Amino acid sequence: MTPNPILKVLSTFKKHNVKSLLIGGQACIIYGAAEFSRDSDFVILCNNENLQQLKKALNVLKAKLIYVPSLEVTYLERGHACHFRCKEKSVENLRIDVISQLRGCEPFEKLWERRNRVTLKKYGIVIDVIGLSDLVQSKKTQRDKDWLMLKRLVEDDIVLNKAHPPDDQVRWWLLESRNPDSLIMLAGKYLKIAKECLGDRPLLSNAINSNTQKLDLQLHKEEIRERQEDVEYWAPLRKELEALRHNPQEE
Amino acid sequence: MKRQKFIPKRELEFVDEDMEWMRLTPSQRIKETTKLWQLYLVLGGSLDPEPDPQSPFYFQEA
Repeated sequence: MTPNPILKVLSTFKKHNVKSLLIGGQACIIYGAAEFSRDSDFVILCNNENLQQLKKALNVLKAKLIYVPSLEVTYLERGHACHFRCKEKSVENLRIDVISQLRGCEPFEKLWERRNRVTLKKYGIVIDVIGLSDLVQSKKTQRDKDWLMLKRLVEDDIVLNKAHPPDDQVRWWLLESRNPDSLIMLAGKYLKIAKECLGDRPLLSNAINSNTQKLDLQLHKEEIRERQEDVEYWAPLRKELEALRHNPQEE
Repeated sequence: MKRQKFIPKRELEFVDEDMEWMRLTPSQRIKETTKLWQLYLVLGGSLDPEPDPQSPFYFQEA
């Protein structure tokens, strides 16, 4: 038996053919940006058949719903997440969060196409994990810890692959890196690609001109803007949750 | 005071431990994090997630 409760959840999901992708902290471990996390978050395919399979898997884990809304297509399609706490002994108290849409990310089918697979022969588990670029996109939230993780994910990728990166990867670094030093280094080394990216990310002009101060300021503004968009995205959903919490019959 | 000219770093600063972790394959990382889980559970660690008031999913459980 593995002492890793996340693997127990993953193998249970697999056994019940739940179509899902590992996201959040566990995905960050897989991509090397974190070493330990108690998060157990999944983005799932939202249809009745898959939810039936998920419910069977959650039953095996003795996972109980701990908040509104209930696990239904209608709520997941509106962007809500569903939250569970496991009571099965080997995963006792582990929380599982599932969602079917990630703000700013493409629909599940696209995420599925871009997923990565990790095979753990020792445990006989195949893990479907969200692709790196989608994981980075999903981390543009209102939470400090997500921004730290996002920075780390991109910087790790730069450090590991800087020797001979394909143009697409350089383009992605230029569009997603949040480190002024990295951006200036990349713009110096790949000026043509940096200029091509200016339309999508105007702050790169400061990377091209090696203006760290301005670049830093604009990166900060970019982050503030994304955080605000996340707050605005969740505001109506939070309101709906409050209503459901106070009037459970509305469910 | 004389203003110092900015010289961009050509290398990102990662300590050796970071590099070691990054150079592992995903499956090696899972094996390593499984060892951490073992230690964590032996030391009496809980599976409860840390409270995160910044999360849109933050709520007080009944």
